Amino acid sequence: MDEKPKHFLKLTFEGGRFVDHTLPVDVVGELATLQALIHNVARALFFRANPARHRVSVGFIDAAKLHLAATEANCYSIGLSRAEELGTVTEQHEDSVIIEQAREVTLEALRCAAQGEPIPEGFPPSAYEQLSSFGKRLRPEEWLAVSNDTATKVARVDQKSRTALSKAVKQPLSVNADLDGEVDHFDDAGNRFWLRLDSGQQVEIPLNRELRRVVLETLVIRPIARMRIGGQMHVTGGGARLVAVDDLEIYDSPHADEVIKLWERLDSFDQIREGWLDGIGAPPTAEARTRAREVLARLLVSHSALPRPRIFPTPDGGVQAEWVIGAWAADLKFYPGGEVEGEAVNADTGEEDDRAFGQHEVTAEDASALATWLVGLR
Amino acid sequence: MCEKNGARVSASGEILFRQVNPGWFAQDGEPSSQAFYPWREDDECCLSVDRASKTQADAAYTLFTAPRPAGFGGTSAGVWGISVQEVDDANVTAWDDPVDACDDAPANLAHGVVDFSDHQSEKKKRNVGRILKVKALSRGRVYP
Repeated sequence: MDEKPKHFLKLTFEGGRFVDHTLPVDVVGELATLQALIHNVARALFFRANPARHRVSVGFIDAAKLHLAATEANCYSIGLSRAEELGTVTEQHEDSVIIEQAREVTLEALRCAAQGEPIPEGFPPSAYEQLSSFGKRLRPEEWLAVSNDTATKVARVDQKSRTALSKAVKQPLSVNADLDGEVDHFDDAGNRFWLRLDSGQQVEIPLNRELRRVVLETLVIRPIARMRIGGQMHVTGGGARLVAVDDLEIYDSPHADEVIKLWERLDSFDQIREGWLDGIGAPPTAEARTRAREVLARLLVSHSALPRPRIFPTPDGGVQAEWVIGAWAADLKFYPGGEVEGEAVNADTGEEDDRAFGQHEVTAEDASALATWLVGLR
Repeated sequence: MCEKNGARVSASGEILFRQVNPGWFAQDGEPSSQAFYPWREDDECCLSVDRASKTQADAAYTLFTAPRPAGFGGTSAGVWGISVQEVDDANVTAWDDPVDACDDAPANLAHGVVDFSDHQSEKKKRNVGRILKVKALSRGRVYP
């Protein structure tokens, strides 16, 4: 009977993207991270065992190289083998034992982290950073089981174990992030900008000359334009910060067409002249139009279940948005000076509902107070 | 104070035609509430309408938009209708107010007014305008 081949390491990816029994290419990088980690640990153990040596022995690097030798679709398992296990080299390297020790020490360190125990003293501090970055491509709902050739040592890597590990080795938690949001503001001098996610969380992102133009354009036309960024993120108690941008894409909000239509309507008020209403009437002021542009765009994008308003100029130089919600007629007036006030009446009962909105209550970033008022009319 | 030269129209299903002027007061086939209450000083609390018992919506539109002296030379985004009963329900009153011909404008015997005089505050007038807009919208644009 054929014996199942033994591998130097076996990795099983579980949950999230792996339930379809495939391995996303984005995650394949974990294999290279693991190989580099084992190599560096082995190197440190070599010099610890041979204090008089200044260089590793010939063939050391090749002996620590790993090969993807087998896969199983259960969520997704991978067997990694060294050349010796594959039989592609005839002789065992003199430091093979050290490389196997490196595997055991690394698995033990990962296991301890998952159990909330201190990192074993045998694990070289010089590899802490690499150890804490292993698993950074996993999402919160995913985990990875890593075991040795005899499956006598199994370590689970997930967000919880990685968080504990990063604390233990005093490194920021490094995760590969796929961020989606709007540009909130930027700090030109500090070469950074902030992306506001739909959850409200803001993430700091490095800004280089190449990105600067794109970020500025996206900021000016928000909320039409959204940004999706992939990269490496450091999470600390103080917040989240992207430290490297791998890919970036600007895309249209699903409600971009509605916002453009709204803005075109407001832009058309440029044609309104003094005396536009039978000889009286001031054209809408820049303040009123800007406030209407910002607040109503935010309402359309962030509260898309509400009916779309109709927009009109008012003879005093303001702008008025109007809704009919059931029996309620609601008007939101943007006064010439930028103040915002809502008045509503129920056409069946005569009941009234008025609401003044403070300057910071309805903004380009937040129209939830307005949405709450409108929803309350239902 | 709204001055008119006719009798009060008693509550009924008769439709009163309202021209939405100017075009800025309509978007995508919906009028602004501003088109349903008198807000200018020279409106003197009167909202002009035409009575369906005396004219048709298309004729009212043509008379309103035709150049002087054949018409009143106004612009209109369309004709919307509110009933006399709806006017009464909104606590305003409908009145007959025929207009005689003058040098540069024709007569309009179907002209009427909705009297807002009992609502001295601008806010009350705006609310009546909103109520009448909802009623007009439920009926849809009458013409064109």
